[in-house]
Amino acid sequence: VVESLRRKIVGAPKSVRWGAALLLLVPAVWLGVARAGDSGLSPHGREILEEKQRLHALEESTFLPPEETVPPSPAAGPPSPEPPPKWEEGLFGRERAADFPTGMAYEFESVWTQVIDGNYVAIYTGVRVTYDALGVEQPTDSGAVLVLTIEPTTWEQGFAVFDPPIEGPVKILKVTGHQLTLESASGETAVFDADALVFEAGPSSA
Amino acid sequence: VTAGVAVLGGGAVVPALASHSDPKPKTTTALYLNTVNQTTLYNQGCNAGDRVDSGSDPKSSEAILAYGSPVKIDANTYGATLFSAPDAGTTQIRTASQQYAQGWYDCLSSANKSDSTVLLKVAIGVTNQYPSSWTNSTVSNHGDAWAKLVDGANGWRTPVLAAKVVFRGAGDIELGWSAPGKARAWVDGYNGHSSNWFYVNFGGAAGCQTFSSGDENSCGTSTYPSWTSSDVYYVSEEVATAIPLPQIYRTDAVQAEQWVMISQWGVDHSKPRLFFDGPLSQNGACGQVGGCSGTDNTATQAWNQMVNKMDARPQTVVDMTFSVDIKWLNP
Repeated sequence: VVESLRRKIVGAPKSVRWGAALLLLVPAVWLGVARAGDSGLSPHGREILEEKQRLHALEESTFLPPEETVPPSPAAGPPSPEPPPKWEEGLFGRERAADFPTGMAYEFESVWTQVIDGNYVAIYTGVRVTYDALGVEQPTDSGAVLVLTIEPTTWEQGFAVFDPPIEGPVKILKVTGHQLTLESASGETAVFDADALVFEAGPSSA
Repeated sequence: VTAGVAVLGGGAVVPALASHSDPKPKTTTALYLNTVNQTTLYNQGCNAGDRVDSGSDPKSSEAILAYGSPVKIDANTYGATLFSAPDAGTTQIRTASQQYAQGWYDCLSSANKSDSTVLLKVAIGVTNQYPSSWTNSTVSNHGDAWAKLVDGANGWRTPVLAAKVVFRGAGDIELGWSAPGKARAWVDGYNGHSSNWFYVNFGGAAGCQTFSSGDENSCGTSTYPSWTSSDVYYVSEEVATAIPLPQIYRTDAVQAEQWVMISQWGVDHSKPRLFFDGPLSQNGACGQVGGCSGTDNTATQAWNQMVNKMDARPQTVVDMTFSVDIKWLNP
């Protein structure tokens, strides 16, 4: 059969010979590169690779049923409107404040959440950080106050950042009305007005 | 031309003969979410569908929905913190994520609904910042609950949606947020679920070696210094359901070097390279909070850094599929 095929190819027009050559070449290159890429894998390494292949195939098998069986459907439409979620008010420590996304040059120690003038407000306090040569956060001497304001109906969000007049990381020491008393590691304090979004008169000692 | 092997959308591991001269795909928007309001998520999905129609989003995209950190709502309910908003359980998170997908589909044009190349992967994410009181067992149970969440979302798909959308899990696994054992417990819990849906690790590799400094044991932070390259590799690739989609925020390309070196670590230990789904940048989020100096790569910068650093370590070369930039939800 192989010899018969070879004779047919050799005797075929040039374009057919090229096509046959390509048909043979593509899988050969595929196999060669795949083996080169996989070379050096331990049995466990090969298991990892094969399991990935299996899961990709599984995902694709649910992702792409035959196109002709799935005609477009009309829009399901938006869900029924829900009332805005209740905003939990209070003062929280690192358990709520510290999951602010990394890489944004802040590390927060406390957060105060409140409804002010109908808006949902979260005020984070902590420190600005830099990143060393290996990407590890390093605190600076500059504290930071970040105010997140959310319009509850549209969920439109705004951010504003303020620099405390005291040095170092700051945490919320106490709250009086909408006045936040912030304390630095050295014991200095400053008062932030959450209504006016300003620091009141300069620092004082705790 | 650099030879490599890549996991492509077709589901097979195939050789990547092409070099990284392949153009960057259009960028998909990922979202930090502090709400599970279904209408809000539906509208966000609709916006993404509109962007596909207008050509600003890619036809095939991966949207990460990041819901904050793990919590336990009550004895039987796990969930996420929604950052500073009230906690939400996995059912609320699943339903909201489903609405994102529904909105995306509903707002596609008829032509794109019929176009088999228009596809969406919705990756439902949570961090590795577990409450300090949690044992490895509790962390593992959260991972299992998250896999059930993803399984439930995929089970919810109608045949029409199943042709266009698949749900994945996602973990923002940071080396400053937990010890490696806890992160391993979570991915093992997720991976142990019978459903076998992928999760993407969209975390960092802080402290890990670069081309010129550190070693395989130097990963980690001052809070959790025991991380190693082996740990990062484990949660990003070694676990069967893991796919790396790493943070490439830094403008000096250090993070790209670190992730390529994690991949090289795998090769050097007779394991597969990391099959990066693509880089994650945070240019959008940085713009919203007034800038972040030195960590505000654009999506193009992040893509190019990964390409260039992989080219410098040829055994790590893969063709990436997605370019993703994250921001806070804003209508």
